[in-house]
Amino acid sequence: MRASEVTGALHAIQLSEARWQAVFETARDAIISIDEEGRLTLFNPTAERMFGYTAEEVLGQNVTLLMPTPYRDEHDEYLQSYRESGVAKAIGRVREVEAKRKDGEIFPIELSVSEARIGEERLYTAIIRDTSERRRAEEQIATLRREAHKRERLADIGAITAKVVHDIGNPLAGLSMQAQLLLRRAESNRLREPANRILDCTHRLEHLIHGFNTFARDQKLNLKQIELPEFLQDIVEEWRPTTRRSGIRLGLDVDAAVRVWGDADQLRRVLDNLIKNALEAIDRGPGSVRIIGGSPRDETIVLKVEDSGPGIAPGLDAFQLFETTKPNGTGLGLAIARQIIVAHGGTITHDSVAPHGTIFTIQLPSSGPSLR
Amino acid sequence: MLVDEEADFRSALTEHLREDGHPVLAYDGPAALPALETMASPNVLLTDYQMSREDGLSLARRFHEVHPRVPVVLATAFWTAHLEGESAKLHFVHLLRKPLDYEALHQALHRLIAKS
Repeated sequence: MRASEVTGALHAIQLSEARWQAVFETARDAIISIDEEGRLTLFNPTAERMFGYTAEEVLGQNVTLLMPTPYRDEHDEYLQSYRESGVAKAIGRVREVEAKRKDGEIFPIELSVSEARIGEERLYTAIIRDTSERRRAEEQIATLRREAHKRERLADIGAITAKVVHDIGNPLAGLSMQAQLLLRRAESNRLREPANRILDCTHRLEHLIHGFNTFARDQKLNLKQIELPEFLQDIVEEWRPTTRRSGIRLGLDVDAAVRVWGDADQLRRVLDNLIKNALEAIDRGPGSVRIIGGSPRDETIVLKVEDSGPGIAPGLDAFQLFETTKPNGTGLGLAIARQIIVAHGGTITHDSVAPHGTIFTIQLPSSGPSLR
Repeated sequence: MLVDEEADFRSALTEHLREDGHPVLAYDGPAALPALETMASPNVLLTDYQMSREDGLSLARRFHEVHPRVPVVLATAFWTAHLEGESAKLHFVHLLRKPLDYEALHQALHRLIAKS
């Protein structure tokens, strides 16, 4: 080979090296290589940023350092089996797996591995893309989609309910007024009794329609600063005669000077509903219902209604519309309660407590829904 | 004066009121009202909210322009925050939920007429 040819070849190699170096340094994906034993031989700057290690820290170490279990435990065996059988699981494909950062965080990656043979030596190079952002975005889109679907469904239910309330409510008003007229004119108990029965039926239907109406109506909150201790005290006093009659203890445990922005009438409706449910769950005393109010964190108000009743069957979503275990229940009460709490920017959940009983927990932003 | 499209409601309420000695003019919708501008003022207007041609709120507004001293009772089976807000702006409108209990309605009408 002539000197000029050598220079030319050298130049070509240098050029190739420079191109590779540029790719290696600036690629937005992590590029790492390992030898046959799994030891890291290359670790580009993006890999350093992605995994949190410097190249010096990891070069020569086993690549399993970058893997969480179960990948970590399988890798050495996998390399060996590939060497012996030639059957590849990773090479030539893009796979979605998990990796581990220096700080222990496990994150999703897209991994593509290629193989190079130089004489007897094998070298595996992996291009790794951190897909956590993409995953997060995908999850966010999925959540938004689910929420939109739910909103649509609720809007449909709202429209149907409004129609039902109107179309049944008007003839019912006629029926009720006619029954009242019949009752007024009835001269004998033989007539009065059936007229009263008709009126009772219309009242039951009225109650149902009223519930539908409450569920379907536009939620407009009349927000005011509520002093929690006074608010809860009022509610408890109102229920006291009822609980005393059925031999059930009603307790209140509220932190002093806690305030919340909310619609007092609507929140009261929620608490009344929870207390009513609790009392119905216990049925007859002895038993206890406890109302707890406080602000464990400055920006959050927590309200709890605990009862010593039989509890809610596991797996039951008591807030689901029309979900009821009561013989005459409409399945609207808790659905409405949740609607009101959600309109306040809060959450409501229920838990069973051992050995028996239920806790309903409401969390509200103390500054009201708009300032969240 | 009573305006309601539901015939059974209208007839029963009319008979109730007549038996209590109140003269009643009943119409099955705003369209059936004789010319609002020229008619004599009743003691009170009781109207349904949801009606096919014109809603009770709009009827109440038109009625009030001609008969400013007459109170209006708006009855509705479907209660909305919008309706609540709108009728709260009109001091002469009183909102009631249907179905109506006659005795309660009778007393409410008495109080309104006494005040006006």
